[in-house]
Amino acid sequence: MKKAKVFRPTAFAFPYIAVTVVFVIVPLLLVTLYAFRGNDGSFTIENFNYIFSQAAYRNSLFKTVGIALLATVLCLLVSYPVAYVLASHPFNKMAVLALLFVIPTWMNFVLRIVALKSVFNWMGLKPSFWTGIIGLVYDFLPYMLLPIYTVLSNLDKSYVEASKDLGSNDFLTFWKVTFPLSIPGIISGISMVFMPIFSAYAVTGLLADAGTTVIGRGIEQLFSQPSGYGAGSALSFVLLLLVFIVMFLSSFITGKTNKTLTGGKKR
Amino acid sequence: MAYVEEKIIDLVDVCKSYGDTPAVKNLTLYIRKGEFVTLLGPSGCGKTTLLRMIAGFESPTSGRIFIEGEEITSKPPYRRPVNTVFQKYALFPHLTVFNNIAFGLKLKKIEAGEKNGKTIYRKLTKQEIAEKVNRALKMVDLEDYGYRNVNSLSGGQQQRIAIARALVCEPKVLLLDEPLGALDLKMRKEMQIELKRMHQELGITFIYVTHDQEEALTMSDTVVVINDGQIQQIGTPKKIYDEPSNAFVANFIGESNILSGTMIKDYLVRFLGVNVPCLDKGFNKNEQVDLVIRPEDIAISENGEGQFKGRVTSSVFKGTYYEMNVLSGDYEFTVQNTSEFDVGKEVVLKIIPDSIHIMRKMRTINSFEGEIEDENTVYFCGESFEFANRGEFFEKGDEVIVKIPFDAIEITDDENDGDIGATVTQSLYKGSYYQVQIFTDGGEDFFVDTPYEWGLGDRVGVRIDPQKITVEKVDYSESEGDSANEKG
Amino acid sequence: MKDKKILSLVIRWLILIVVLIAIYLPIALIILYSFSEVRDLGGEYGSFSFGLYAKLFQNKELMTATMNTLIIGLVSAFLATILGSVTAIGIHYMTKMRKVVDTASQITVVNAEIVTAMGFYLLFIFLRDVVHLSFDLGLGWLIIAHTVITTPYVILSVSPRLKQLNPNLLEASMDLGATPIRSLVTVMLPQLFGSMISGFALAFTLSLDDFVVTSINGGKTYTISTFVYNHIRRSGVLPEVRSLSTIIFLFVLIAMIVVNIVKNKNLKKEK
Repeated sequence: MKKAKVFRPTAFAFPYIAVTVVFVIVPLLLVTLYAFRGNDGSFTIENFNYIFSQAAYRNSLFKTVGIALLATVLCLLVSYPVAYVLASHPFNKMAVLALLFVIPTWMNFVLRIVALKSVFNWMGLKPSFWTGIIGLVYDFLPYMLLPIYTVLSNLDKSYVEASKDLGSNDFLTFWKVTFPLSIPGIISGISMVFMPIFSAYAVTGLLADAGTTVIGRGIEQLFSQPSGYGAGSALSFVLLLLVFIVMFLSSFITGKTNKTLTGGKKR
Repeated sequence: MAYVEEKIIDLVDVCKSYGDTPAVKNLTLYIRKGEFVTLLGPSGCGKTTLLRMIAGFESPTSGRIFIEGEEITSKPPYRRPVNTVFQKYALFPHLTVFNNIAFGLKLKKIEAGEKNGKTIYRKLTKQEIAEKVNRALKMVDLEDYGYRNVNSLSGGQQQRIAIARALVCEPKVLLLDEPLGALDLKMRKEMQIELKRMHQELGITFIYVTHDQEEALTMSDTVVVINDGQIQQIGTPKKIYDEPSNAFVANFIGESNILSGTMIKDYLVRFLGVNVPCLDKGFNKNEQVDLVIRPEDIAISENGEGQFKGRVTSSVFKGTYYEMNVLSGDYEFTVQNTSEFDVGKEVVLKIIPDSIHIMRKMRTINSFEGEIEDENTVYFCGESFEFANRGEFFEKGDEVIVKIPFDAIEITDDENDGDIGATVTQSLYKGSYYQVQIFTDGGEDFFVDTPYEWGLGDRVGVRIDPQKITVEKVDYSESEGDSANEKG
Repeated sequence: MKDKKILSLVIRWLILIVVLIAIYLPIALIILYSFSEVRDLGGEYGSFSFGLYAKLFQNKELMTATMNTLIIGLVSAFLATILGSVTAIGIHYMTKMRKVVDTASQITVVNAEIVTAMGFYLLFIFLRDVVHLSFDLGLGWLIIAHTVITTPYVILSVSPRLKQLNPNLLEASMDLGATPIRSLVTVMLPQLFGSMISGFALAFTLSLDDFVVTSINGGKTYTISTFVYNHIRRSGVLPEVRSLSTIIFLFVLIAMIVVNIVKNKNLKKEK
């Protein structure tokens, strides 16, 4: 009899595991390799020295963090009220309304930014720091809105009712109950906006002045010739670390809020 | 019905573990052709794992499985001549009732004669499939349901379709994994009768998994009681109920009073301080035993004759009888009787020999009462032993329970070589090792797993690995339950 | 009390309307001016005309970019849907490995896109210079890259559906004699059809939207995103982009409406 192993359905994931190794893991290893490799092929941190000693890259990195923070906060300030309204009665019965805020994301974002650019031209706004920021907020707003809206609209109404029953007014109820419960949505929104802005040089490139750009542009330029691969990889590696930090922070905060929320019930 | 005395399924020394957790342990079992066999046990006992290994969804970690003499251990499920009825039906929601039943038939190939010495196979024709499906639908009383959507059917109807879908493939063995678990009580009773009827009409082997002892007893030809990945007992429902082989089976099947006792001699057992005649023999003199007495077998009266005096502590009406608890000494009997005795009333219990069933003591670990001498020494069996203290605080004189696994004890030829001397009183071959019972000079029974064979009456020396001795303080709140009624 | 309620309703409507206007004003103006041939928005509107639409179809480079976008989007979304659905089924039956594979599939989702793009680029360099495969950046490479990037989203949209399915379906199919591949095609995939369609749509729009990976790994192959970006950076406004935007927006709108109608119908059917 032929010896055949009993089939496991987990085998269906194997092709993808192979794809992930070749096209995701190996590229990241290559980035790491190039980042720590000198011209002669030896291990070096020269590339990191270079990018941090060159004011252009160092400043660009810090500026990008600033731009990303600012745009993320503005996104949050605009989308939270919208999400809150959409999740409240009677708007929660109008599913189409929420959809209206998302539809533009299904269209090409370069075309949307070009449309915004045409409007700025018409209004006589010259490319500047702030037009760039507005562009980023315009582009990323739905990604902040959606997770917050999802959390708020799935929130058990009885929390709010209980709070009011116990005597808090609308504002206190929001501040002490609704807002803390929506933090996981905010965190998820921030993680969908903050890091992607680092790569959004198409937006700043079309809308902002020449001085306002994100680090993605710098990396792209470094990679335009082989001599820049090392420094470009080093910069990419720094971003990679940043991604890890952001991930860690967001899972830490989400974990903490979840713990606070379920703390009383835990056995 | 008459059995053809022929094995259809043979499981040889089958083990299955998930990581470090064993689910099935060295299980050997055969099933006869045409039998209705039930695998019965509490949830997590390994019965479903066993069924899934027969079906081919899991492969055993070790051991072999045969169907009609052919090894199928590593055959995939689609090449095994068995079909399964799943607990939650698993009907294909995108197919009609008809196409669900026809699913297996469309894949089936049958012999179509011979050509150049080779058997040639062909698929079933549309008409053949339709005929078979309609016959199957008829068998489960759902003739007109062929073109219905499966989601529009009730649970009971879906279960019938699932059964028809499996049976239409004409399997040599039908596997049923708690098939009635999701149905309500009335439906369950109906389906029990229905399944039994199908089994009789078709004459194929049914292997039925359930945790419902009543279902097992009413439907099966043979019941296999499983616990902890091991077979506890195999037998007819009557045998399993009347003569449970150990305390677990007695406790799991039906209500029972389980007590520990001592065989004084053949036909006489002592428990709760009373010598009671019984029908069992063949035990060692003064062997520790478990005994089971069914609640309906205890005669209760206000001042008739009997061995045990007691007081009624509770009484519940159960429809056709009263179930009462009677406290006698510190043991609480469960008694069933058609007439009620008020709570608080003094009563007399009478137990006749026929209603006592004696079982060998089921021990998984040696356990003794002992006394702490210092933080690394404990006194039991008339001797002091060192033990590895795992950071617990003991004081001299603390009463403790000492537990020693069977494999932590080494026995040697020279009785002076060990910590204590003992005599071999029993030796059982367990496949890969011997389980030996020894009686120490200090007057205690030890069970030892050993790779060597020992003769009865051999004098041996006993050594215990200090690392493997566990010492626990006696917790009085729990130890009271030691001899109490172990109702599940 | 009643006044307060009305006031709150008005304020809430205002918030929604103001933000909606901000979102849709540029799009509306683009649509409006797609029927004018004026170079810049705000200029003399002139007469209503389909001139920009004619210009769009005559602009060979833009048409090629559009074709590339569609080819890359459709092919990679198709591949991602197949790969993602099959993978989701595999992951569904995993126990210990699950967390590892789940995490691995999220790498490209959480990573900065520029790093992913550079990773692909370095892989290309590696395959060309070290492994000596003779191929170039372009359509094929972009299809692979987009497939890899969008597959996790298909997995994310298929997995929840799998959790709702009867746990024994695959086993039941194999029990009745179907091989694993046959079970996959005839039993599992039909159950997942709906979620595969939404996975496909998601993968397609993500591919359509992509700029960074495409720009770095496209070589001389341009998509709408990269062509329009480069053209505007080099030579300023390209009026026929307005007609292209209009067509795409209307297409998305119609698709959304159709999807919603179908969804509502299905909901009613279930009831």
